[in-house]
Amino acid sequence: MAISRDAMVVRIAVVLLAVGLSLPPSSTQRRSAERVSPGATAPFASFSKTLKTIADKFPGDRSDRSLSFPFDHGVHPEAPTEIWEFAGQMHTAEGHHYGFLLSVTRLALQPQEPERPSAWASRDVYRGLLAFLDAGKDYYRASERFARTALGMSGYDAASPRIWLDGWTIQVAQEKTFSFTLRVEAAGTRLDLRMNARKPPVIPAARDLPAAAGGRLRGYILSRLAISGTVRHGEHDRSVSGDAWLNRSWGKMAPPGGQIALNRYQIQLDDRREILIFQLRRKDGSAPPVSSGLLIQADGRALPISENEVKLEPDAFWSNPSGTRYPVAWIMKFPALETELRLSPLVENQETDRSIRTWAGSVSVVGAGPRGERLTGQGFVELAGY
Amino acid sequence: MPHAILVLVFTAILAFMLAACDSHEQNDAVAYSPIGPVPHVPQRRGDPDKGYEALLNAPYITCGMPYSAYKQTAPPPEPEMLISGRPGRNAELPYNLTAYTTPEGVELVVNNCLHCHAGFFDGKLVIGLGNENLDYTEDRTAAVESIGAYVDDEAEAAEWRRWADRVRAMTPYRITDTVGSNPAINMTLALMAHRDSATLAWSQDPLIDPPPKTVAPVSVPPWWRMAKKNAAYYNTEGRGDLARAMMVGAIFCADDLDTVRNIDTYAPDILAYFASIKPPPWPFGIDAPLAERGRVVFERTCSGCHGTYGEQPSYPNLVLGLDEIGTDPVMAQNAAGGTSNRFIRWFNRSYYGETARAAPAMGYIAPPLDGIWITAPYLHNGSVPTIEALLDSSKRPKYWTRSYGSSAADYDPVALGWRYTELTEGKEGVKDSRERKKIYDTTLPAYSNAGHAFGDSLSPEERKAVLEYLKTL
Repeated sequence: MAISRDAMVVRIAVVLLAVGLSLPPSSTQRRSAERVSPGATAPFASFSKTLKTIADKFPGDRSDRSLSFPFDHGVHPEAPTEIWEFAGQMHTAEGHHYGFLLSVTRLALQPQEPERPSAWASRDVYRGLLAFLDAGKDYYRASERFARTALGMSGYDAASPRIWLDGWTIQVAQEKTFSFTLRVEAAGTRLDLRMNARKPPVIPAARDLPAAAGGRLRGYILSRLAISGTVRHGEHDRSVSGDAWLNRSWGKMAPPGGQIALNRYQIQLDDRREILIFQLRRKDGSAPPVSSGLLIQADGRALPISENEVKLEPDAFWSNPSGTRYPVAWIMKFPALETELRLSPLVENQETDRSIRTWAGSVSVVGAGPRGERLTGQGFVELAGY
Repeated sequence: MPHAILVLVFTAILAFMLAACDSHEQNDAVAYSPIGPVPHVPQRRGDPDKGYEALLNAPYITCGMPYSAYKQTAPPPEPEMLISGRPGRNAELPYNLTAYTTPEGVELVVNNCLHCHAGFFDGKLVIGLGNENLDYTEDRTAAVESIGAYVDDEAEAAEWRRWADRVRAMTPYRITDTVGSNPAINMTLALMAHRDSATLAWSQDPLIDPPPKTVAPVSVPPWWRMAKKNAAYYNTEGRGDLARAMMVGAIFCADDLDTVRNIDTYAPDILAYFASIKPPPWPFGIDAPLAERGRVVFERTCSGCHGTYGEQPSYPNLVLGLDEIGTDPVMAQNAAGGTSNRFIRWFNRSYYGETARAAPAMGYIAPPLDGIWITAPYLHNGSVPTIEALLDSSKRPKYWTRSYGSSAADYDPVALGWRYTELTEGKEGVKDSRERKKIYDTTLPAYSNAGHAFGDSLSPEERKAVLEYLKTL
């Protein structure tokens, strides 16, 4: 019986990433999905079944191959679902403070290329979500788009290599293994950002994934990427710099619905450590939430944070106009690390009221370490199922 | 892996923990068993073939993960994880899982006894061998909860919650320090605390004080010893109707009397199967003349407690007091020192205690040594890695680790045990929890490797001969 604690935790982490995946239900499902009472999963059930049916047509990825880059930055057609998710914060010389989330999801409709001759026939659908925050102006806007791979509306070009969705592109640099260029524009905001990894990826071993994901989910985390580039928001192009975080996963993912909702906390401390925490909540509230995660040290080594090594308490709430109440500030205690952090939203309203409604926002982090030293940093928090 | 989760979660429950006495009377007087021989008590007759079938296929554990969630999350089992001849759904499940359809029609995948009570040697599954490689050091609550992401149907969701709630109630009491140590006792006591002793009904809040969260390590004993033993468990706390005593393994999910009455109809068959198991023969060569010299030494110095073997075997069923055996006292003291009386009373008041009785002794039984070569590590707490070290206390490592593999290469056929690496420091000096949990630290409370120093008085030649003889048992 092989035992590997960190592999186990990474495994769990990756499946939970999948649990948190925002998948695009149809327009009729959107409203019901938003308004369901806690525990009511029926509106998702049929959609969930469709996804399961599709996923079942795909062979499970049982290979033990090591990931290789830049190959694995790109599309894995053998996997029914795939996600690229960048989140980060940026500053300008003029003192602007921006936050962003760019999530691109590929959803396969069938394992093979379509046989029917229509130009609209499509193997995959891409879903993109861009959320942009201008903290100083209290401005937050989330934009979503879907496009089929038919007619060149979305897709992946292995030669460039480049993922695109309408005019949005994620370019994977060929000369540098862990670098990306994002070009996206929506709602009057244009991001043109270069991302260079400052740390090695955290990669779960394929043989360890089965535990939580049925051996059918793989992925990696780049917990710190240096951002450089320009942001056009309003009249001006402004040079920005900052830090981003990338989550990548592909395979057979947990469909939406189910009994649990997930909160995710990605913290980048200024001492070059990162913390990833997942909080699982039963939708019916029948048991207290459970939290666990990873500590990524300055040298890139990832250590598990188990259930009894982290305690989360909401510290402030924000309600959207329809009365949904989100815990937007959090106290996070790590008894074993003798560390306590407070996460505060840069802006309270960072709700992405799109096909899936979440609070997905940038936070600031302050706290104290074991010798009483002050800790600071930034973070990204996603709250789902409220 | 999800079946590992199930596994970690439900298992060790087949702790023949509590037990029986010859009295059918229900009363609250706590009685401990004396040091000395354990008297024979007639047992119910059972059919070993039926017992084997029931063990592998009957739903004596009645809660678990919905099958649909299992299918979405678990990889197909490796071929060596399958037992041929299992019917229906069980044919596709690994040996330690069983399919069960609830009265409401929900298909579940539940754990069975083999999770702790089957182990591998050289790639082959040995049913009845304690699995000494299980990792109970981790809190798996998040993994169990995350399975809920794959559950949509309301009837399935109710079953998932039932399972997850029990796992969560038990988890704080089953976290061990060291991989390979089994928390079955504490798991069982924690579950007792959540059940009404008369009705077995589950209470989300404990009804009596749960056990301490510190788990005393236990090595899982092989089932085949039940052929000779008059009581179950190292401290002989399981007495009387041993089939009933071992049924407490169902405590994880058995929520009512009908469930346990049904299990009771085939429990004697399972016990008969245990007694019918033949331990695997020593797979390497034997120096027969040396072994014969060892037999003479063994029968002169060891048989008084461990019995004789061969054509006409004997076994004295002898419990030794802590002063005499000198091995780590914590397990015995926990049970018979007064602090567990509420659990003894719970058992004796319950359906389990109607024909069995919990009566721990302040000591340990000298076990039968059949198949002893494959049951490393040794002593009740698994503190001594090899027979060679057991027979010569100067060779016992203070701090040690092993591969936790079970291939022939992981086995040391000279010392008789799993190969180990002696370390220069214990857990205290090691920060990395992944390393720390693999260190067996005999300086910790309940982990002592002291006692049973009887081999020290033998000459090196005599020890070598005894070791050779033990291979033949």
